[in-house]
Amino acid sequence: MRFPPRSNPLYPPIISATFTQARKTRKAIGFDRGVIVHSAIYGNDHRLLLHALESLDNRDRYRGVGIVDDRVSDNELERMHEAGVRGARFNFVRFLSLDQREAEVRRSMARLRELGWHARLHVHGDDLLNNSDLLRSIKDVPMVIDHFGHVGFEGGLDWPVIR
Amino acid sequence: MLKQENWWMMVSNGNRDSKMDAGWDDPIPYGKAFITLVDNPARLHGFEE
Repeated sequence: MRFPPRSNPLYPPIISATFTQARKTRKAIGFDRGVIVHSAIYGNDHRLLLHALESLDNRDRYRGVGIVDDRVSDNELERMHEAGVRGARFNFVRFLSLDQREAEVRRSMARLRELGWHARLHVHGDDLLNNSDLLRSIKDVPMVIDHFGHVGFEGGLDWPVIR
Repeated sequence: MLKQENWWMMVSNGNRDSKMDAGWDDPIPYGKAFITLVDNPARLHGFEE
């Protein structure tokens, strides 16, 4: 495998679904722009994301979202930015054992701020509440909650995380 | 959080988290609630393949 996931991935990579096929699908439905979101199964190894972005004939049509932590060097961040990455995802999902450390999150957010990137938050219901002090304190980075915050649609509109 | 200017939400994958076997429209009340919450609905967006 050219771009293997990290050990014990949360799910196996879908090798049969290629970026070329995805572009054909988007073209068929009338989309000529897109964002590639780096999968958590690759951790902070961005080789696959960079390969996809850097292989494009027209780099203005695609952007990327990576994963930024202390192990991602400044040089790699610069290369990611040059390739079209404009955001980083953060996983606060406890049941996936992907808890983020507050100090590291703050350092990463500072790096995003310097680059003008946004943060995408993968949270699951109460994870948003459990990290609310940290997340509310970040005022100068655009913050995007992924997928309705995975609120579950069973607690009703009065559920604390909804309110 | 969505009341803060720098917060956005991707209203996507509702079908994945839906508790319904078909139709998957139980996320609709939540989407409507979020729309009324934010001052600028453009801060809600969604699409994923």
